Amino acid sequence: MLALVHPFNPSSDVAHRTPSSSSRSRPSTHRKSSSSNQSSLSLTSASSSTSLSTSRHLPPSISTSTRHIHAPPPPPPLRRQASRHPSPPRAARPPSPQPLPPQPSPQTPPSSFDIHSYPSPELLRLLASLLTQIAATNDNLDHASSSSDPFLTQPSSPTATVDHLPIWNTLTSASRAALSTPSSTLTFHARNIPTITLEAYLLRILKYCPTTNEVFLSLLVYFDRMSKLSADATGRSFVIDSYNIHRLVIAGVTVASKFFSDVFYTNSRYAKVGGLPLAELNQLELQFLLLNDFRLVIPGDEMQRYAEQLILFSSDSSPPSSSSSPSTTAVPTHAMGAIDAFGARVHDHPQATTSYYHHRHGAPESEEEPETETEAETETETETDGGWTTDDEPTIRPAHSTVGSEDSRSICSAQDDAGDTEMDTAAGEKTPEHIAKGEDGERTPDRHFGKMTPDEIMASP
Amino acid sequence: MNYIQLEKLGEGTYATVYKGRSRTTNEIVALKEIHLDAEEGTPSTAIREISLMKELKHVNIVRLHDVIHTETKLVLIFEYCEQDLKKYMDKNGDRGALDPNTVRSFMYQLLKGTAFCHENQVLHRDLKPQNLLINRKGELKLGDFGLARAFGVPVNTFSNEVVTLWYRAPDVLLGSRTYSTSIDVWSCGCIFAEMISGVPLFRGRDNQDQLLHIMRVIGTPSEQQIKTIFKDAPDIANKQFPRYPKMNLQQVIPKASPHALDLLERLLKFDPSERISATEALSHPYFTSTASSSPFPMGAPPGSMPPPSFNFPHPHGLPPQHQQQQMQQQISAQAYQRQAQNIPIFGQHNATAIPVHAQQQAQHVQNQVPLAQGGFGAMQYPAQYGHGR
Repeated sequence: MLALVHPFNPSSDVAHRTPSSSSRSRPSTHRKSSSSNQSSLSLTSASSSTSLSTSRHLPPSISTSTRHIHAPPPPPPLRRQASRHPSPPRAARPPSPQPLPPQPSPQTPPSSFDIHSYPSPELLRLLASLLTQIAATNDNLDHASSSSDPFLTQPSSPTATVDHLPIWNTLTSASRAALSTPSSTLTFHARNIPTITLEAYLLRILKYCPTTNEVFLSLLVYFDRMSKLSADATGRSFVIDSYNIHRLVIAGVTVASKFFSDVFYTNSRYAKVGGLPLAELNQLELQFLLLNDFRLVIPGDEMQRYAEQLILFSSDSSPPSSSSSPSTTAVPTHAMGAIDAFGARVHDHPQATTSYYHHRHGAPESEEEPETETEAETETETETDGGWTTDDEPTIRPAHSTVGSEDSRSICSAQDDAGDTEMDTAAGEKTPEHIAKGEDGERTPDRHFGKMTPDEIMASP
Repeated sequence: MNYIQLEKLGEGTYATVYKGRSRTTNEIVALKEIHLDAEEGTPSTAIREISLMKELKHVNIVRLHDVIHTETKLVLIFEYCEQDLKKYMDKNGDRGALDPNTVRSFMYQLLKGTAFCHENQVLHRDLKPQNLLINRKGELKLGDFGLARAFGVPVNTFSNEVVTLWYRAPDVLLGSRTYSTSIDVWSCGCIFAEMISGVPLFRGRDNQDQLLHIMRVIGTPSEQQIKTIFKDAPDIANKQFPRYPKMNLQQVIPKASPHALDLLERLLKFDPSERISATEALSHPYFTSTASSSPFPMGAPPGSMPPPSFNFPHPHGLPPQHQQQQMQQQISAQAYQRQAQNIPIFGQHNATAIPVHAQQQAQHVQNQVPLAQGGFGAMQYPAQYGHGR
């Protein structure tokens, strides 16, 4: 589920708040110990505990809600109709310097908010901000309470709990199978956190696979449904974190475009834009469908509700968007801190916003992330079995992958099959699906497309 | 898999359809195997078909029972229907034309299913006889939702490459991308006329020709009308067309009753905003009037007309197995080309021993005798009718 819900519904399901609020305070205390069990994440622990200190202040509501994700079985009532009180317990952050840049005044939670005409880049900025925050919060919770992390340390028999939950019988067999196989969620888990910010990633998708706001907004709905379905059906949680968010996004956009729009692109194009091998995107797409139990229909009012809550979120926790030029990340500082911490950079600046920005955008060439490689699904599974070890060591590559000088620094597996040549051809390629406005695809000159290979874009050289 | 795969029923571009039988219940189903394309991943047609049909539970819509994922494919388990409307007309009609009662029953069910889609914010966008399935109870069901889409969310990326040409609404032919439920209503009108007359109403060769066919019958709208209809699409509004006067539909479809003609006219309005809605059409006098030449009991409530008398025992009573074989032979693969549908329950089938093929058999023998006649009036409309879900 997404954090959105609770910020506006502070009083809901009190029962769940207790454990969760405690978890909020936990990170700093528990992180160290937990990190020792998790070599994969250990490197962040020391630094991020600092970065999570009060000055970074996660909005409590966010951590509360994400906490739900980890909450064991009785899944929280995730009712979305949550009253929209724009007054979540705000931490003591000084009022954010400036309201959001563009005109659609975020302060007036517009019941008349027009999804359709809202400027897409702005929408994506908000979306990225929210998702990044959620992911970062979950990252931290993972560290804090490793035992509850479904990915890493819960080989708990999923099938055991599975059968009693009433919703189970309403699902398609395909979805049941997917839900009872932990590897289906692991499919989304990248080896390393992609270095491209979520906002840049979304903007890239918008640029090369233009689509409507609804498609992007639907991601929130689907992520929410996946989380809820997983919790309701299996008692296990599906956690959005910095490792899987990019892959969830590209899979979600692919699915939503195909579902909502008569205009969409080939999967090979989505794969290239998303920076992962086609075969892997296909896999993610299918898993995305299964984990949603093919529930893709979104009533207009539901979509509207999500849109409004997103706007509310932005007005509540308006990030230090001082530098929110398109390609700049304008995500909450604490989120950035979390990501940074992972990369073992900027360790000791709780309020390292500026240094972060500088680091990331000022001098992208100097970033030292050696590999942003991730592994293929199969690999992921093996890893899980044999003990999770993710660190900054080069990824173990599948035998058939290239180990060339040009590393595949994508959000994908090591299979670097998205070569430049392919990129070029794909750019101008007009697929049959370009029914209504195939020009969009052509508007992107091959040259550009070729230049911005996923590899380059996904990783900082 | 929990189903035994039986003979192949048909093959389409993205799927192959088999008959199947449940290992646990013996229920007969249609198994639609989706090929997961390496380039395309999961076909959008499959994504739409599954996600939409999952939510559309109605007696006049082919039921999607389940989805199974095997290593390389997705298998959709559909309710099994014996044939599609096209085949039904070929087989049971008088040179394709169905008798008035059958037409009325099918038309009612068609509109019922269509109205249900529309209530649930779904456009079918490919209604045509081949996509309407008929089971042996005489139930008509909308199938093949591969082109369908939800319209609740206003994504304005509508394609005008929808609907098989002959059933495509004039506004779509003209390039409109802001169409809505009225395009399905147009298709219903075309199908209505076709059931009555036995031949497709507008048989154009291409987009333009199709438009001319339509205009020759329902007349060319005045320039002013066209401007009003397409006020948001100037490129369309300024097109020039030959001026045809409106024809008397009676001449076009002599067999149609006055009520039928009136309904038809309302379904086939050039201006989409004037077209009757599927729901409204259901209460048209064509269905509600008892004064028409119907063998129905007086005062029968709307929706009470029985489906064709499919359940009647064959006079020569073939043994069930034999019948079964015959039936299988009669089901043409073509019927299943792009859809999967099916109706099950062979146990029941055997128990009652009355199946379709019996009826079909009769058909062969007495060729041209409108099949349904015998059964009408004797049967109650299935209780489910009229119920939403």
